[in-house]
Amino acid sequence: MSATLDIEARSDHTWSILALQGEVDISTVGLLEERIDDCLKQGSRVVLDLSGVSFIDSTGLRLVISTRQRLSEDGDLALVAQDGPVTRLLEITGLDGAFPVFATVEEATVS
Amino acid sequence: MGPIRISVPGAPRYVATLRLFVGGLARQAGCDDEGVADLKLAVSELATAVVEAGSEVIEVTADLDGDGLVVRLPSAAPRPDQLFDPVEIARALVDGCSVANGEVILTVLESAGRRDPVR
Repeated sequence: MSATLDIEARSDHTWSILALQGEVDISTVGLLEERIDDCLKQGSRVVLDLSGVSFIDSTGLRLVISTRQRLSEDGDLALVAQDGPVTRLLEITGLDGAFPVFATVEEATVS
Repeated sequence: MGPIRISVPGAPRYVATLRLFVGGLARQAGCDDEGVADLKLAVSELATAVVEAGSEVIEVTADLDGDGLVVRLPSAAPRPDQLFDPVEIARALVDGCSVANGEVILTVLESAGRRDPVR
C-alpha cells in the first residue's frame, strides 16, 4: 500500500492556496513540488493548507524550507495546520516558530 | 511470539507499507494514538534514508515482548547534503534508539506516553 495525496489548488486575491489531503512522504512529495512550482509561476504568495494531512515526514518539511528559500523578497509562505502531524514534526525538528502557522486559511490570507 | 519480519523493495511507495506494519504492531504493544504516530514517523524517516541510499530491499524486524515493541531496520550512512538526521529525529520520538552493526534498533515501551522534543 502506498501513500496517497490529493491537492486542490485555488486562488484568493494575491494568494495561491494548496489544500492537501493525505500523506506527504518520499512517494508523494514530488506531486506537491510540481503543484508548488505551478503556484510560483503565478505569484509568490502561497498558502499550504495542511489541515487534511494525516502524515508528514521530513521530506515534506525539506520541500517547505526550499520553497521559502525560492520566494522573492515580496513573497510569502504560510502554513495552515492544527495540532497533529505537522505541528509534531515542526516541534521535533526544532522548527516550531520558524514558519507562520495559522489555524485557518482565512487567518493566513489576512496576515 | 517470535520476531515478525517484513521485506519490501527499496522504493518510495513501500515506505508507507512499513509505516502500516509498525503502526499495527505498536497498537498491539499498547501504544496510544500519539505513540503510534511517533513510531510511524521514526520508521518513515529511517526507511526514507535507506531508500535514498539506493538499497534494493528493506527488511524490518519487530519483536513484541512483555514490555513493549522492538523494531530493527537497516541504517543508512549520513548524506553530506542531508538537512535532517533521521536517527536524531527517531531518537526524539521513541523510548530507545541505538545504531549497531548496520542496524537501527528502536524501542517503544508499553507504558510510555509522548516524549517531549529534545532541544
